[in-house]
Amino acid sequence: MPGIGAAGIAGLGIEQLTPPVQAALATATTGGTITAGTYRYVLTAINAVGETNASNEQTIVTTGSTSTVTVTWTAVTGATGYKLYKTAAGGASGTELLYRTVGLVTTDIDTTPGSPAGAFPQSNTAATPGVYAAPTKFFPFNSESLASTQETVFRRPIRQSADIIGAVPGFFHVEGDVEMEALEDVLVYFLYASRTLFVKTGTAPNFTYTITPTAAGIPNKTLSLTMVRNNIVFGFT
Amino acid sequence: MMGRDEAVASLPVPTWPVSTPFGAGMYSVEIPTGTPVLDTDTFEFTVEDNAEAQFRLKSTGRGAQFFNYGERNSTMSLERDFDSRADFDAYKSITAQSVTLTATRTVNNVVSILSPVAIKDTYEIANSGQGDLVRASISYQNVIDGTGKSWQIVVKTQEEFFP
Repeated sequence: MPGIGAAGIAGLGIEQLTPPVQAALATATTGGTITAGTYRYVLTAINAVGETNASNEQTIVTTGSTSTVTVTWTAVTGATGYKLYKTAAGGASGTELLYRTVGLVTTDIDTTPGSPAGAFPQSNTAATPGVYAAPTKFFPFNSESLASTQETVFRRPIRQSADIIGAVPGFFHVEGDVEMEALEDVLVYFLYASRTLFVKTGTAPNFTYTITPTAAGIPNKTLSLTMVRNNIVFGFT
Repeated sequence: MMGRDEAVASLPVPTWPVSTPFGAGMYSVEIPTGTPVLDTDTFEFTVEDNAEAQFRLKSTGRGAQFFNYGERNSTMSLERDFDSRADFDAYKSITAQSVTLTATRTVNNVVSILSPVAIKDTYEIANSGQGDLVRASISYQNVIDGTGKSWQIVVKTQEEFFP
């Protein structure tokens, strides 16, 4: 039995699709019209709201002039399709352009050079608001007072009953405060899920996030907050 | 914080961040922005968006369908040594100031809070006793500037995600 005392875990997950993970590319020397060269591929997952950032990049070397390239990836739960991007022959890393949009498949055979156009997104707009996301960022906190509000309706008919005769479930939501030490790598998540314009600049490993309030609510920027109290888990969305 | 509902969640295995909080010697308060002052403490910055849960009739779940935001209140407070009338006179004349607090742990680990148009809301000065420091407790309301922002926070970190 766990003890009862000051203990707990708090973690955050962004409610958005995760990018697919791409397996190694494969090639065949017949069946297509792709010419010899080195090609790079990435892909993204899409849903009704938007598109994820790019998957990991894979590279393939083709020979001859009748090659095909097989792209394979892991399925993303909640995705409605995928967008595939590739470079021109010899193209640099990160210069992939969109060449095809596919449905709920996890492999695709590229047979032609085509006319790729449109860079892959640097942000992730494939939000899944209200869908619980397991925590990926944990943070130490000093105290929390998140309360679950359930507006239970207790039935008390006016006739022939002096007492409550039952209850009906009511609306439910969560509300409260979390107090934590000032860790900038955690703060930025909370600022993301607020009524703000959120701009990211910089390149790895150093990033600058500029957060500015907006007059209108910006939808679909939500977090899941996982709280563990006395080894009992709450997954707030 | 406001949450719409609760989902079934499994016990996570946490990986704790190794970054440390900001502490003494890492703060710079500028009043107005660009002019560091060394007579402040107990800085506090708050933003209240007045979110409200909105419920709708539906067949799946009892959680809120969405939240709506209300009026935003952005406030700031701090204490300063009271050794001049200048700041008090600015309070009386409703003279706005730009206030910036920057917390810097390293050049790439920074939190900077800017209030471009801060107007003093209350200005409390008290003589608590002979020999006591005379200090002013000041609260500000943050007002929008010409670009429409009442505050701005810039965070520099190694944390990467894709907003």
